[in-house]
Amino acid sequence: MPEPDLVKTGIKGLDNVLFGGIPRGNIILVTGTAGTGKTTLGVEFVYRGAREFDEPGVIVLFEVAPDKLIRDAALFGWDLRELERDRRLKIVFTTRQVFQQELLQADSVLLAEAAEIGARRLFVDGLVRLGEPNGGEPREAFHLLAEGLHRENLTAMLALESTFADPAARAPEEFVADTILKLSIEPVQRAVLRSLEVVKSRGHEYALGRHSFRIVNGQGLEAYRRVQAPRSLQREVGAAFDATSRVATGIPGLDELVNGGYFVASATLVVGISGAGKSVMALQYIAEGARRGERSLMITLDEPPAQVLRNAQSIGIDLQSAIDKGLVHLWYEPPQEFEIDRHFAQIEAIVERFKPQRAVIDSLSTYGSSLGATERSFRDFFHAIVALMKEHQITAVYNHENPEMLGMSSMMGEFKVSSLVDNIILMNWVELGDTFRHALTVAKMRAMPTSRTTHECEIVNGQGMKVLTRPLAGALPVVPFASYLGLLSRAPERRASQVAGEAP
Amino acid sequence: MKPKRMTPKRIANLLDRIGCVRHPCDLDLLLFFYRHPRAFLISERLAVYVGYDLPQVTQSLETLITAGLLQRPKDSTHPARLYVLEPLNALGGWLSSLLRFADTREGRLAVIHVLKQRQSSASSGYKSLDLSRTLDVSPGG
Repeated sequence: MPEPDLVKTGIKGLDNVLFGGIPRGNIILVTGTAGTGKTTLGVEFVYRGAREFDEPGVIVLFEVAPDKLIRDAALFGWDLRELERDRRLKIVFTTRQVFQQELLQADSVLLAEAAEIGARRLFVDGLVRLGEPNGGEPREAFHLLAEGLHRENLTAMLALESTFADPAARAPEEFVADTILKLSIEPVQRAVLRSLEVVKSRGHEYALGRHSFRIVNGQGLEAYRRVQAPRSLQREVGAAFDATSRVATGIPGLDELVNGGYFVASATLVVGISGAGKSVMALQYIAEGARRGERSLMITLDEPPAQVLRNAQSIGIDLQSAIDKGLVHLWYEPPQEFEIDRHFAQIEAIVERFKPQRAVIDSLSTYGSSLGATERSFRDFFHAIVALMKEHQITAVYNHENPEMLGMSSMMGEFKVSSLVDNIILMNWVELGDTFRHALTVAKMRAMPTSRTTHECEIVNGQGMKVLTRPLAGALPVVPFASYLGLLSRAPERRASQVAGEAP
Repeated sequence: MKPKRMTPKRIANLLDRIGCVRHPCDLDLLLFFYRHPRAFLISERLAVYVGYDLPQVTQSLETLITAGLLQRPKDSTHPARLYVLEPLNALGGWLSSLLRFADTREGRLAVIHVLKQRQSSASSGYKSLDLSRTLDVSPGG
């Protein structure tokens, strides 16, 4: 099957959404209400074409004065005047009526202007529903316009104002266009989120759904592929485990409980209330990697880097030194106004650039509070993160704050993702006398045996956490199930006869 | 850099060097094309944009085209015409200086004031310019 001749937009992240670009010659309709970013998208499409792909372009304006467009483009670092001087760009100001009638002429002045600089791209800003010159249907008028553009084999992007009250309504032009990019801006808890959707695009595949984007000063548009969108098959098969290697946890006494360490590329969930020692465990895991010369990524959402460095220092870990040596990448993103697609794209970029062998996310509960537990967003995001880490053979530890102070009635509370991970370690407080003492239980080890016994832990200032050895003499005897009543009701009681007959 | 003071005398000097800008409509058309250097329009629409009657706009367009400040392809059979402003470095930068100055409200009014005084002088004999008014302007190119 022949590969389609795709025109790269050059817009950061958008070609990823479009699986490489848009088929050459397509008529692209960009729809959206005022302020959604249509003009910026169109101008960048032409600018990147002329600047990066040696494809001169023409911009047609009806309402915005060219000098204002040039001024605004300069904010993104795009020098349109330079492109004009180099005859790689023409900006034409006209009226909609003239434009519409013009393209129907066999000897169109506008298209001749485009041909004069060898234009391959055209952007028309501010199109409204076309009226047919002789009173016909707008769809027919748009079809005639598209034919005019096809003649010149221009890849044309037309920004069309959405004026429909009903967002599901379709303009007649949308049926004629080859590609439709729908831009939206929606309020999310007093902030706003920009999104784009490829409604259709003839002649190639693309990522369905709504993807986030930003308009970044000094750069332009940045699109972020929807986090839920399926990635390459490679990512899905990335979990092919090495059954022999183990990744040391860095916690004295814990490796013995997990059969020598975590599997390579496994996902481990550490669950516990705030203060139970999750972040300490995470720091020791990272420090152990640095000690072995392995690169580690630490993603922190709750504490800024200075605080993490201080915390590390308090348990005897010189994290700054490991960062300076390039062994640790500490990445902090404040959780306010999360844009999850962007956040995930940033993690992907770090993983691909830094190539860590270990990773820690501290903590998942912060994602949960930003994304909400009831929607699928959190689960989809977590699934994507786990798959990303596995694809890159990263052994990852995810901290999760469980709000229950004493005991746990569920591992993840309302965030039902424990089936996605390989290992689960429960961190508890146990109240003995007047003291809360740290307890650790390895609750799940996929493909490995585990005793699920609870061990006491200790966090010592300047040293960190260790799992205390469990003196065999004090351990409870393992009594067979047959000695109990009410096992399934989760309130087991020893049979009286068994208790009476037991040696003291 | 501190802007130079633009006096009516200096405005008059600029207009003399440019030569062809004699009517306020000439100036307003130039200002329009300064903001829209490549405009594809019917002249009626252009007249609406600049706010003069069609015969005056037609006359001013011819003036600017004849002076080589504006290009208009001759072979078009379309009702709309493509107007392209020549690069502003023509005329040794005098045109650029004038347009940058006249691109503000005060600047435009000052130039129009000088143009009107000249028109009035031409029709009723010599009258000295009011040199008391001064305005700020960036240095000309």
